[in-house]
Amino acid sequence: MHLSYFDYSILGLYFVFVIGMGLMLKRRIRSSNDFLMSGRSMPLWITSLAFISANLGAQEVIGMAASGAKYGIMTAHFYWVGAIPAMIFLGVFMMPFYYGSRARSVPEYLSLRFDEKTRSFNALSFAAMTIFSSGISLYALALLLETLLGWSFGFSVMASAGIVMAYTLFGGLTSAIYNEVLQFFLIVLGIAPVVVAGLVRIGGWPGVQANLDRAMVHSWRYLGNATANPMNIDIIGLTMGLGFVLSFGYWCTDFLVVQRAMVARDMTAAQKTPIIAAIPKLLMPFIVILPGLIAAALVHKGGFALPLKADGRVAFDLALPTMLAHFYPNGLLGVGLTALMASFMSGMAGNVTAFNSVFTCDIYQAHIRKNASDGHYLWVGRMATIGGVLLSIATAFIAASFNNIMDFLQLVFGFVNAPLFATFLLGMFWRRATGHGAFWGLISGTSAAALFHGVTVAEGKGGWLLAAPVHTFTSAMAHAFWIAIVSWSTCMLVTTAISLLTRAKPESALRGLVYGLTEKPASAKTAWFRRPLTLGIVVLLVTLLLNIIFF
Amino acid sequence: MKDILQDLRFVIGAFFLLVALIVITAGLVLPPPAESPLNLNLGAGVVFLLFAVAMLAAALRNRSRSR
Repeated sequence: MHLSYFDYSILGLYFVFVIGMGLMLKRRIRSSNDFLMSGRSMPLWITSLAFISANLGAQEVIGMAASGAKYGIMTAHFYWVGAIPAMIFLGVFMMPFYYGSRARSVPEYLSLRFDEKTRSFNALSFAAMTIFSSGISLYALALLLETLLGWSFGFSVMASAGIVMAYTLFGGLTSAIYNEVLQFFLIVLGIAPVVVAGLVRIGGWPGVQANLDRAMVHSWRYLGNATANPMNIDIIGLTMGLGFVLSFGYWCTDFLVVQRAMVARDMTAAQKTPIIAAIPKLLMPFIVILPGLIAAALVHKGGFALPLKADGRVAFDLALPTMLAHFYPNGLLGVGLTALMASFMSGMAGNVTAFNSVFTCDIYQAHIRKNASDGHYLWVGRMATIGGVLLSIATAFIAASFNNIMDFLQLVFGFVNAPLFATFLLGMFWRRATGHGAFWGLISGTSAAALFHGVTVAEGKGGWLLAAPVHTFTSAMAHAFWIAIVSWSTCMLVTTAISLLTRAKPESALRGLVYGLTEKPASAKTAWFRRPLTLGIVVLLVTLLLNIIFF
Repeated sequence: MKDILQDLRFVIGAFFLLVALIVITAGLVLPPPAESPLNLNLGAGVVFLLFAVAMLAAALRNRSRSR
């Protein structure tokens, strides 16, 4: 890939704007609340776009295009079965508890609802996951720049981390959120032209269908039998594992995304944030998955090729960069490359700002120094930002030394997020759930996930506990979905059993934290068509329609 | 002036205005790829320009309303 002055000037312009925005917002930061929670004053359109942009990192943009090229339109299940229903559920049912409790973070909600040990377990595991995730994002970006442009790995890591650190350190969460909105538009407008050019070349959607296997262009038709579809998954694993446990576990409990809704101006805006965010999210498959499908169709048609890895397999991860290099002339190529960099930086900044909040509020203030001045916590927040970025850089270099660290981390995320969703479901909707139940449920769920992984195998991974595995899954994805189902079910059962054997908190201590003991948000003055539930139903109907169109 | 600079719509509009100018200039200066029927630089540049104008207009409208 050869860049011209036009491309470099767009990259330079982007760096000037993101750092400039951080500097401009610096004078707004007067307290730890401003730095860590944006003063809870963000308008709805900004929180909504930041909500999806925080998730629009490396895995989303590069990974979804790769999955589109490898598995076809079934990849859209991550959106139309997974993300959208979970986002609606978060907005309608869970935000009243998160926002109404005035907790500053998801672990703090756990402390109010359950106890300190449950909060600490969640805070520590979340802090570790955000650092790893941020480091992996940095590693993937540096690897991409090294592969495409020949930039040195070390320089790419340091330069990208330095820019993210500058704007998050200056303007805190507000700066990260403002940049996420800019990055959202850059990603959408920077990648959309490749979809248009690709569709023109292949002859539109009929051209894609004509050049690919039928199982690649139908999302549901071949799910009856795991061996009949490219993902090798069955309908139960998909709907329960991805559609329910993993998606709800991520979108409803991961502080990285929930934080964007928690900084909204008021309860209605907080509830609407994930619901409004679901509207552009519905259409994201056309920006991030379709380029992969077009690439696969073009390979079949001829005159276009995807690069190969050293072992001779197709490098699906390079599907999107290859499409950009193939279709974009210099000038637009700079926009496309900047969009890719924006996606990596957006993912990293999201993780760093979530880390500094959880470290300051749930680790430092809760366990190290309880009654310090606000100025001290502001200073700790800034130091946590620097520490988070430095740890991410270290993780990026560690990731470069281990060829399977990304698989390992994906697995660990599944181990932690799936049982957490069971804890939240019971905590928010069953007043009898106790702190002991929640804590041991989380430990048991995570342990069950590790055990299940140890006795089953897929694509040569897992099965480390036994010489002969109990079951062999047809794909790693099906394996991950079933691990999530097992860990969620175990956490649910153990939390329920231990809660029934231990003493629950009095009802007076649960007001505002549990369904049935919390006043419903006042929406009587809002027109019915503007209420969160109505908006949610409309979004779900459109999602259903998309599932039918691509059935 | 300081208020409008802090309006995110203004910042995004200004960024895309500059990007549009660079991309349109590239479209006019560089020869289009021989195999492509589209001049992608010009097409995308015009879309960026329209988007930038819409964002800047929204920022200015918001400013005049708040006054």
